[in-house]
Amino acid sequence: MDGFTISVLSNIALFSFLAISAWVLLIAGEISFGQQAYFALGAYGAGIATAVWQWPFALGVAFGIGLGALVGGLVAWPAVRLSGLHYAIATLAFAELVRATLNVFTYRRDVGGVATGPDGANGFRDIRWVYEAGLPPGAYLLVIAGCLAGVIGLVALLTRGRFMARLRIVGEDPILAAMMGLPVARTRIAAAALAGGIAALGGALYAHLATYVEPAQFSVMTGVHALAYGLIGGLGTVFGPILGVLIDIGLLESLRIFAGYRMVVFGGLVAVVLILRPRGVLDERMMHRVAAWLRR
Amino acid sequence: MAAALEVAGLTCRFGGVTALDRVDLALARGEALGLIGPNGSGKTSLLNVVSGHHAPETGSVRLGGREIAGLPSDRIATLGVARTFQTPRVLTRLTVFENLRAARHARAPGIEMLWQARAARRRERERLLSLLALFGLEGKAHDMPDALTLMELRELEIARVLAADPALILLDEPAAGMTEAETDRLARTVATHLLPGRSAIIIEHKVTFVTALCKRIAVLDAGRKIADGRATDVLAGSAVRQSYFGAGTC
Repeated sequence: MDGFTISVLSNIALFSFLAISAWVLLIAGEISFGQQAYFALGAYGAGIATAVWQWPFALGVAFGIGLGALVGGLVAWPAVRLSGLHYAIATLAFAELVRATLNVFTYRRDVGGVATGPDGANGFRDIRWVYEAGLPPGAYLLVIAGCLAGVIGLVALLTRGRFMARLRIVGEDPILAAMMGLPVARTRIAAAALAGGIAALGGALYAHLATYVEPAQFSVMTGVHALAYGLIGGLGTVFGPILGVLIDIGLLESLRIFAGYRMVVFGGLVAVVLILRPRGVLDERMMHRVAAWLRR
Repeated sequence: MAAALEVAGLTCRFGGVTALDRVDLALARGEALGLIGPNGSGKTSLLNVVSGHHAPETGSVRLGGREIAGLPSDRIATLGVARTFQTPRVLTRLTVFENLRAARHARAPGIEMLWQARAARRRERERLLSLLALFGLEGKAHDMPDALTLMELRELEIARVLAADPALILLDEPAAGMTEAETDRLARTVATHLLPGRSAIIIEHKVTFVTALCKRIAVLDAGRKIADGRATDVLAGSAVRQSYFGAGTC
């Protein structure tokens, strides 16, 4: 595989984490414009762990995931009382708060004679674990793909168990959900923690691929895209948000056919899909039809 | 033994409207109570307070001796209360089977969020399908609810109540919009499958449906309880006839 293909595939996989993260919350009936904050927390958390504290890679990534899940749950705790637009604004405000904080967050330590760590708006360089370990880009792509497969596997497990069904019930009709004994707030907090962890995993992997991250990368537009992927691809299955990423990054960006018009085409596509299929291409009805077909 | 349900001095206001005005009501274990009254008399409000959808202003609601007024509805549901709605309320993005399974989620052990053993899964599946079979709905288990008729939607709601296996059942106009034949069929199903071993409050305008299922009837009018007693006595009472059918019809 040439460098370009590897980089496109890596991008698709990394954005998939973010898209799945926003999708988990969409399933639970909450719109988040702020999942990029957890991507950032994962990137910074795992980056600090491996580059500054010299932790092994897996432990650093686990730290990033834990940080994203913890903060996701903590933010959701007061925010789940809000709904619809109010929740969306709260997530947006929190994400901007994280970005503004990272802009002034400095944590430099001497590592082997070099000052290493986040340096406010100047960013965080030398997250070099992957390169120091001598991992070629193709091999690291496999690591990313393996982690994505892990997330898909986890969602499949939760779908086979009762967790995802509970999210869907709470997402469609919270009042009915409560009347059937489901704790709506706690279910949504669990969804937010799961979503935070998934986004943070993506961020942790991204930081080690790029070796350099800066607060400006985690802007609102990143979060809006993450949300749009699920809405286009469909909310019926975890492959919906991944399909959304494939359409945007795989087709619109990588093929360069639309060159400067990519955002125009993407925006138009979102509008058209939302009118024709309000819950995306692979929506619940479509997935039930597929399931019925498989049963035959 | 404590009563199944004991409501005392229950008052509930929405803005300037008093939906419930110092209502007292007791329900013995295994008893089915018919709750009637004109539109806007507070019947559904009473169900909403008992099921925790609204918190009462004052008064107490005791479920099997335990105070539940003001508890969130998910807590009350897990204490053994299940209800149906005036307009059938189902999850439109889930299949009929998944709608039924929804009633089991809150009662399942926590580990099943992540992992449900194969045997437990099969047992649950068979039990839920047998509940659907009571209504001849097993063939539609994998359909979306929008493929169901009004009658079938109500039957799905009742199957869902059965799946939750509650001690107290609240039915809100289960026979509304049904033909006479459908109403009779529903009354038979409720009598055979729903009521045995459970307490119930049944709101219904169709008096024949209520009298077929309930020996006792309470009447609400403008938020107050104006009658409560044996069905035949209550229906014969003049105050009830006046509030229900209007003055001058008797």
